[in-house]
Amino acid sequence: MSTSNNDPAWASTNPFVPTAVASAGEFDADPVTIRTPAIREAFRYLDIYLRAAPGESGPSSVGAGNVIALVGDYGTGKTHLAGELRRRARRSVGTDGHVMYIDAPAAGDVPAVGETPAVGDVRAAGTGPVVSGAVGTSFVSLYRRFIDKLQESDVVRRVGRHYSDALIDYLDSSELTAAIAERLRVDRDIDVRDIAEQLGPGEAPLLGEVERRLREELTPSTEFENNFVTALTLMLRPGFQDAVWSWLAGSPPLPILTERGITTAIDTDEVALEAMGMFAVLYGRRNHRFVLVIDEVEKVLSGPRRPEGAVLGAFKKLLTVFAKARAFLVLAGLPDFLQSLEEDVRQRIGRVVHMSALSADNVRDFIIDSQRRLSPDADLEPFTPESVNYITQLTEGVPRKVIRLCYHAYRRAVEEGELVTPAMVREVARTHTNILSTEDIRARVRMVLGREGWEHSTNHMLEASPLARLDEWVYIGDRGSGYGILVTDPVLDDDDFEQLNQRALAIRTAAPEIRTLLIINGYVEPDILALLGELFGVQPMVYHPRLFEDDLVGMLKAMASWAHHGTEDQTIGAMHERVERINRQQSSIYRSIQQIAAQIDAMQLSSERRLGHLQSDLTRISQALSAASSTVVPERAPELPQRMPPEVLRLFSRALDSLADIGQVDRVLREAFAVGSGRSSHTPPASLEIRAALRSQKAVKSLGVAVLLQKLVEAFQTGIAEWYLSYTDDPQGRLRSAHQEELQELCYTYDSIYEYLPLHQLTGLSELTTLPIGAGGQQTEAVGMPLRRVDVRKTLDGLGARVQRTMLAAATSSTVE
Amino acid sequence: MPDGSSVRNPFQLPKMPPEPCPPLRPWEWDIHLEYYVAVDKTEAAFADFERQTRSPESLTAHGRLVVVLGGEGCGKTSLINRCIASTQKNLKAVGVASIIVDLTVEAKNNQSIAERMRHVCDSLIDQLDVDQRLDKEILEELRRKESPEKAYSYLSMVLKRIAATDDADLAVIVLLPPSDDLAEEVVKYSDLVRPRLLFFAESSYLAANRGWQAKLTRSGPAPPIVLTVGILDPRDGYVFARERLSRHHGKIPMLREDAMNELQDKKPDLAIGQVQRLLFEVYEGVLQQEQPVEEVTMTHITDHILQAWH
Repeated sequence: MSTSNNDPAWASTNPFVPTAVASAGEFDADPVTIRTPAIREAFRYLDIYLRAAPGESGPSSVGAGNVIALVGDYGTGKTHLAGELRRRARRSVGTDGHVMYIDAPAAGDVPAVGETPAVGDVRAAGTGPVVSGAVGTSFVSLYRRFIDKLQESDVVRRVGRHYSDALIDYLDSSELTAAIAERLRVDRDIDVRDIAEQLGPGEAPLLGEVERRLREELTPSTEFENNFVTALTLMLRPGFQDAVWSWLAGSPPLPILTERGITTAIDTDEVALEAMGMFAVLYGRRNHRFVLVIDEVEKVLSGPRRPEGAVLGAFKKLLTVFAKARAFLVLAGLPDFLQSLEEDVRQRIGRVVHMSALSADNVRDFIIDSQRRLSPDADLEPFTPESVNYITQLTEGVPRKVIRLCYHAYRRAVEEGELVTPAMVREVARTHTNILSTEDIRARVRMVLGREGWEHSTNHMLEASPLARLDEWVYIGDRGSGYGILVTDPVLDDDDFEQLNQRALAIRTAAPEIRTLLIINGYVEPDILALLGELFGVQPMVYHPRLFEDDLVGMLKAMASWAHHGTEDQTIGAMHERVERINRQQSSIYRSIQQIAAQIDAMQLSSERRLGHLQSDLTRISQALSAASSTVVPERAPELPQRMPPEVLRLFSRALDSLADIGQVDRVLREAFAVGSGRSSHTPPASLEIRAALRSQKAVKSLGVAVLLQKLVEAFQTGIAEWYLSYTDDPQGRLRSAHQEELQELCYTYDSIYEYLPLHQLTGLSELTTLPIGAGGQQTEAVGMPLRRVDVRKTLDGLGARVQRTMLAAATSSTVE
Repeated sequence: MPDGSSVRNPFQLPKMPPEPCPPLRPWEWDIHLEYYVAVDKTEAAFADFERQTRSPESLTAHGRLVVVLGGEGCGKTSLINRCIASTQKNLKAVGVASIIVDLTVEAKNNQSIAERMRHVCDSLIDQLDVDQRLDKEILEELRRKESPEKAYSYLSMVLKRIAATDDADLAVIVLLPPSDDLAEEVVKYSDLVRPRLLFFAESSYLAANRGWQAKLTRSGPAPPIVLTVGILDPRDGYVFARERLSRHHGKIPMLREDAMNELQDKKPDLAIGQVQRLLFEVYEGVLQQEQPVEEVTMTHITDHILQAWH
């Protein structure tokens, strides 16, 4: 090892991000990018488009139009690549193009009736109430995000170009004004309105020519597309711009538009897609480039929101339009979205880029590049070739997993002053698996079983041996037949495997015919996964936060089918079918109740937030009154109520509970000062015992670290509570991006401070907290269990990221009616 | 040669501020009647109007909507003002006094048709209030009417009653704001025509003989009158300029005929408003020059155009 344990060169700042989730916010930065085959391929397609000569309809090597798809599972770097494409396109097009990134809205993220965004002064002008008749749908929501990214002045400028061109052509037709036309061609910034007024053919013929040119360019074929052309032309007439922009933003057309034939609102999926296509043509015209990246596209293209009928037709048309418009469309999403599309739609996507797993060399390069961002001389240390290989193997090269492991491994290495070894990686992977603990996952399994109507028994003992205990037993039929479910921690080494092997053996011994569904919470080596499948008779499930419930529901059905066919009693089977039907019905009722409960929770959250606002206001008023009354000196500001969603509060409670040992120091000190404690003359004075403990600098340092940790968590909790009370939704009921960024900043602040605290020094705290000072001077049991570093780590490591996610999930659910 | 700066621009209209292109207003200034020049098809349009309004009794008995169509600068407003002056004269001949209300600026683009029409109606009542020929009670009643339709209807009835019972006989002539592309608005005004109520509308967006025109209320004895003006005929430019210059008293640089003809050759779609504006500005420049200019040539015109924008 080339560095000293106390001050290793790589100890300054963790170069890896604990959340490892790319976001639009990071796009303006310059994150580390490793040129995997997928990234190289995507870059190549983009470059072909960007280099194509103006007027070329589409680069032949990209195939059917300028549409590509980025496909990959969670954490494989789609959003990161989307951001890279955006950055690369921006650098290339400069001011001669438009590059836009939007992420598709989630299922609940739809514009609410009456909350259609509208141009403020149109509402304020009192020209009629803006009442939305919008039906919230996937592409409408997507379009709203799209139009949010466009600037009104930019759209006007693009349409205005047609006006200038029409005027220039008119002036050019006369020998008398040809020189003026030439001047206008060169200097496009000259305001042509005065020239048009004095030398032009008049406003009406000029606007007529603008409309004719727009029609030629946009080739409108539907009622809406014709409306779109009319509206764009109207934007050039004084007094119409606000009304048109409001309509483009989704509001119903105002009377001054309906009187001019604009009657279609952009409030259906079909129309929203047509509108995006029209803009693509408008922005992709002539020498301009228009690049649109739609991320998480599976949210609008697969599952229950999969487009059908006219909407599917409009989507196909959009893909075709991008090709004709000399625009470039990137669709990034989970593999589901591509699979759910029909063949003729897939054919319109020129190229599909499958996200690549990182090789060991990629991981090594990534580590080195990341570390060099902070220190130009950095190399692979504290990582080693062996640990890099192991990380790659353990994560199967999935970038998000790689980054998270690197983050935690780096922290551990800094803390312990050691290089990252495979053993350390294994330990880190064991601790930092998912947000949920294994016990949480067991609870989720029970929840899904109940919701789906499966009769089950928790902690089911097949025989007396604890090894034959199943977390759940799911009944199929009424002769005790069924199958087991076992939830386990990460399986990383031989010991872990051996423990499961013993359990599998015990289960098979107790009930040879049954199968057990093993659910693994976290990392598992691929080889071991296959072996476990053989041991338990079913391929294990690896817990994934987003897919878990859907996967589990599918597995429960498959397991039931296997178990059911295993029973020979057909009568029982028939009975079981009937019971199952009843169960299903109950399950349906249960789901309804659960939905209602969720809504009530959301309402409760909303009410709590309002109450919190009120309390906050009252506090401020109270403070203002106190300040106004100079005779009263405020003692200290009243604490803000710690209101927040219960699941977030639980995270903080667990975190603070893990530090509860600090409270034992208070107790030890209080008892040392207890009056009449009755300590016998045989026992040494308490002060001596405490002094003895304090002789060890470990205890003092440990206490300092623990107190700092506690204060850090408390401050973090207060910050989050204040944020929760302060944020407001946007008109669509979405959390505003500015508030999201605030939340991200708060959580990042926690994580970045936390990583500086030397947790390895916590062990010394037990020397103080376990002092045997008790009433009556008798030797008593230790007053507290020593603070366990593992427990602390489990609750405090990545707390920022967990709070961020949980809060966002809660905030989103609370806004969905 | 007198000092150029003291010479009045021959293209400036009498009684009007020194603006390049104001419309003639003969119903306000009699002298403006002399300034109409027989170019630009306006003479034919005006003759058409006179033919259709030969009977002043018909105008009072049925009212009228007159719509003038044509591009910007083609003389729509000047034609309307000429028609109004003529109507005023004809009505006066039969003992009917005209209340002429100019509401051409009383509408905005960002108003709906209903809002525009309501605003025009309110402004009309205000103007009638200022005019003082109608009783306050009548005006108050007009203000209480819930719609322009009812207000115009009531106003017409009041005017008829006054004619029958009082010594005065009044007709109200309204110059409406330009309707631009709102054909529906013109159609609505055709529905509002009542005895002793005359509306004059104009548009540079609407074209004649299109679908909207068929919707105009054509029933009854007083169908709307639609007049059209357009660009200048060849040589009209010089005819117009010569007429203006001939009205000037005192020495003034003359305009070469070949210059105007060349201008029209090079820019054949000139409208009278553009010529008026151009020559006003050219003469402004010529008259400001220290060195006297004997005659205005094509060079003066092209220099003016290019200096202004190049």
